[in-house]
Amino acid sequence: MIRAVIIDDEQHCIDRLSTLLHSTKDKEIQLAGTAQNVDDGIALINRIKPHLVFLDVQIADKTGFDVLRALPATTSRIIFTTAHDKYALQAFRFCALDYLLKPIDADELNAALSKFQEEKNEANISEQITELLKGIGNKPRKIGVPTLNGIVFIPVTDIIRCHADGNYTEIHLSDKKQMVVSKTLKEFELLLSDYNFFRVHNSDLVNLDFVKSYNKGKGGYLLLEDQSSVEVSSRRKEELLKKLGSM
Amino acid sequence: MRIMTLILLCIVSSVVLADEHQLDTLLSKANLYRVEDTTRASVLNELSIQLSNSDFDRGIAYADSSIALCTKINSDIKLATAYYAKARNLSSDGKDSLAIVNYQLSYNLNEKVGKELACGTMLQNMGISFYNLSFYKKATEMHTKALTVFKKLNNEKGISAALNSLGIVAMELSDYSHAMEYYFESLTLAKRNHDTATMANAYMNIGIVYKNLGDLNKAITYHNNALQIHKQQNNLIYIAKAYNNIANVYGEMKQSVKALEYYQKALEINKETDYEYGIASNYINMGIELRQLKRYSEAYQALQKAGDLFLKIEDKNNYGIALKTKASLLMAMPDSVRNQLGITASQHTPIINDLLAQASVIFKETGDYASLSDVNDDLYKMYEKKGDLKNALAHYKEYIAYRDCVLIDENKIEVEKLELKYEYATREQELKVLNIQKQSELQQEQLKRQYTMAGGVMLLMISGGFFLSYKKRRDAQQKSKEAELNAERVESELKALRLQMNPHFMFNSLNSITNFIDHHKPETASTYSVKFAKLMRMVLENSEHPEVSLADELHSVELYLTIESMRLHPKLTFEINSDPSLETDNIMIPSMILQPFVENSIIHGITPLRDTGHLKINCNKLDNMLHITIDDNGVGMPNSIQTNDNKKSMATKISKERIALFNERHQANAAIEYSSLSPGTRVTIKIPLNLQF
Repeated sequence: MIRAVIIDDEQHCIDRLSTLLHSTKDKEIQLAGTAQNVDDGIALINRIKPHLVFLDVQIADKTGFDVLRALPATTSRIIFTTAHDKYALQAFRFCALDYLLKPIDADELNAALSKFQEEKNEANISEQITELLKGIGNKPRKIGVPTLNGIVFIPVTDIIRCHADGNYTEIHLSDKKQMVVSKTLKEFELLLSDYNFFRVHNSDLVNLDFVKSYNKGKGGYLLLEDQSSVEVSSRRKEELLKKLGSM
Repeated sequence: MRIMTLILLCIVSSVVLADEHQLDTLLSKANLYRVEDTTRASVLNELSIQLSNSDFDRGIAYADSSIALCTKINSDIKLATAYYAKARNLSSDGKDSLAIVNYQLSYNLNEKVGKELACGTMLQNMGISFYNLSFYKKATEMHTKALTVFKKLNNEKGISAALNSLGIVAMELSDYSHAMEYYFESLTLAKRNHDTATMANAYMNIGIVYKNLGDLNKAITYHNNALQIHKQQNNLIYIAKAYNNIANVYGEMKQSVKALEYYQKALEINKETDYEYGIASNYINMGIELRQLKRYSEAYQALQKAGDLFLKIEDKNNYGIALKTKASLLMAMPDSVRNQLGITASQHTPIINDLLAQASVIFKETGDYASLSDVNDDLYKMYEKKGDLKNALAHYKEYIAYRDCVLIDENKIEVEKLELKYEYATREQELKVLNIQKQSELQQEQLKRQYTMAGGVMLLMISGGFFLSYKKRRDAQQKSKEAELNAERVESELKALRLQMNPHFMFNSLNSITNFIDHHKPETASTYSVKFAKLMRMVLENSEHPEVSLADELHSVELYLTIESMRLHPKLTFEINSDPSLETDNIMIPSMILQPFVENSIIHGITPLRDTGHLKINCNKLDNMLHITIDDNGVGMPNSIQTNDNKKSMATKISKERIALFNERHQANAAIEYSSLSPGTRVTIKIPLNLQF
């Protein structure tokens, strides 16, 4: 039996989610309690030790992050729920934490639940939360990428380039290591474009801090500090030059 | 002329078809032999080189793993070959600047380990890559260096390859006398070594030079020599090329019947070998000759076939040329033939216009300014003949603008040519000076003066050329700045229009949702509002960007239609299809351009129906334009216009304005067209294919 709790300041949100949990096909899940403010939420988690917490981001004048700050060693899996908070969403994506958008879609809830049941790997939860709390309010410095051994956190400044390989992405790091991650290059582009990363080609996202030189040509190519060279799409050349020029 | 150039390129990078059997053997070797030593490196290198003619993506991957392996086991010799293999694949992939880097790496290593022949090969290949990038001076430099290396090693095969390449570069620069010298030297050498392949190559190239020099009879003789050799070797692809070259010369001689005969021979062989590029080139040339013979309808069919094939093999520029040639054929043909082809007098101009418009979109994309200026010249003449002076002037202006672009490019090549000629002159002069040193001092002095003067004149000419091109460049820079400012203005107008659109769209949807709650069950209402929230989120995100991918746009329309079909249940069904060849993630279109038209089709076409209506969205590529059709089987246009007299949809009006602005910004010809179906209406949105990468 999986014990779940909901922490949300608005009653109708709790009602909606519990209705959905009751009607879900998965009878393994049991709603073990709800809380409507941060303090009650912390107490609830400490008392019940739930497997799963549905945690709202904005809880009255506090946030779901305050709940996590009080529980640094928790092993509960967290699924955030929020209506619309661009910055929070970005922070969740950086830590590879799950979230559901309100109003919650039954299909998306089921998908999140089955993902939870598939990966019972708890090893990284506290690291994920630590990184999340560091990243709130300022730019996250590390990015969490899912691997076979759980989430691994890499400093963004160690990434030289990302290369698309179908639905996978190869990450090339400054220590010459490589990782293959089952995420599309587009997802990385969305996360990293604020970090001076630039998509020079359909299949390459480059950290412009590692550019050694640009060589002219139809699109030309970039020489990077790891001695690799990356072809630039002729359609991206102009924008790239603009970016390089402003550096 | 363009087709001729392409044939020349084929010679430079002579076609070697990968032997499938050999490839299989290598692959199994690579799989079996996994010990990380030089043997495995050799296998990987060989595999990569084999693949460079057929599957360069894999070729690069094998080269990369060989590079990693050789670095690990510290084998400079194999590493040099691995870089070479990578370069060959990159060059096949059209990435010549990267290829040069890898050739250079290989060269450095080969130099280090003292493999001179390999050094020569790298120089020779770098020359070819520089040629492909139109850096003729660099190309000449590399081939000359390669020639020196091959001569030192007495490697005659290398010598004749280098000479041949030098000839090709000289020919590109219209320096026929040097081209001839190189080719003849290569020919003599090849004859001595019974190297028939190089002999045939030399014969063919000499033939091409004679043709360019206007000595057409000699041209035919040399092409025939090449043909005989290829026939002996039974090398079908090259036999077809020789026929094609002979036909080209007959075409130049205005002997269209003969030309046609040879094109026909080439065509038969090309069909036999299934060489589609060759077939298409044959058809386009046959079309031109048939037109000369006033066999218009046959010409039309040949051009049609050429166009279809170029489109199939995605040779954009030649496809554009086929369209352009077809348009000018239509302009030239008498009315009776035109009627036979089923084209009425009223369709005539729109068809020509359409062909030329399509062609100019293609040429803009491929950057073929020479063809663009031709197209606009045609358009301007056509409008002038019709007395439509406004359009005539517009196209005349474009014609002039593109002609100037061509001039700028030509100037660059001119300067390059002058520099090269100057170097040739200097070298020859130096030789002379050396000889004459043995003669009297007085004579020597005189010569030096002449030499200095000659140099001075050359320098003056060069700096003149530079000045000209500098001024052109400054003008071009000013122009691009103006264009940029204009683009900014259009961008802010677009933003304003998008902002107007959001509330409109939101209130329409809110109205739907209220309507829905009034009439339906609560569970459905909840599903409905979840979907609505999703749609709102997408709309908010998409409207931040002026352009979104076709995939995203279709996704949001699908969501919209799901909501509408729930609201109107069971009166609306829908389907969305897009051609599998479309890269929907890479194609960019103005954001939220479709939704207003879909909404219109539902409100004015389908809701007045008594039965279930069906809405079908189709995306495909046609002549380099993205065509999105929205079909409904509703009440059709006239009825719906009557029932809704003057209430024009604000959103569609905005969309039309956005299309107009899009055209202004991209110099494009996007359009929205309405047509009647029985029953129903079709809206077609045509947008130039705009790729993100």
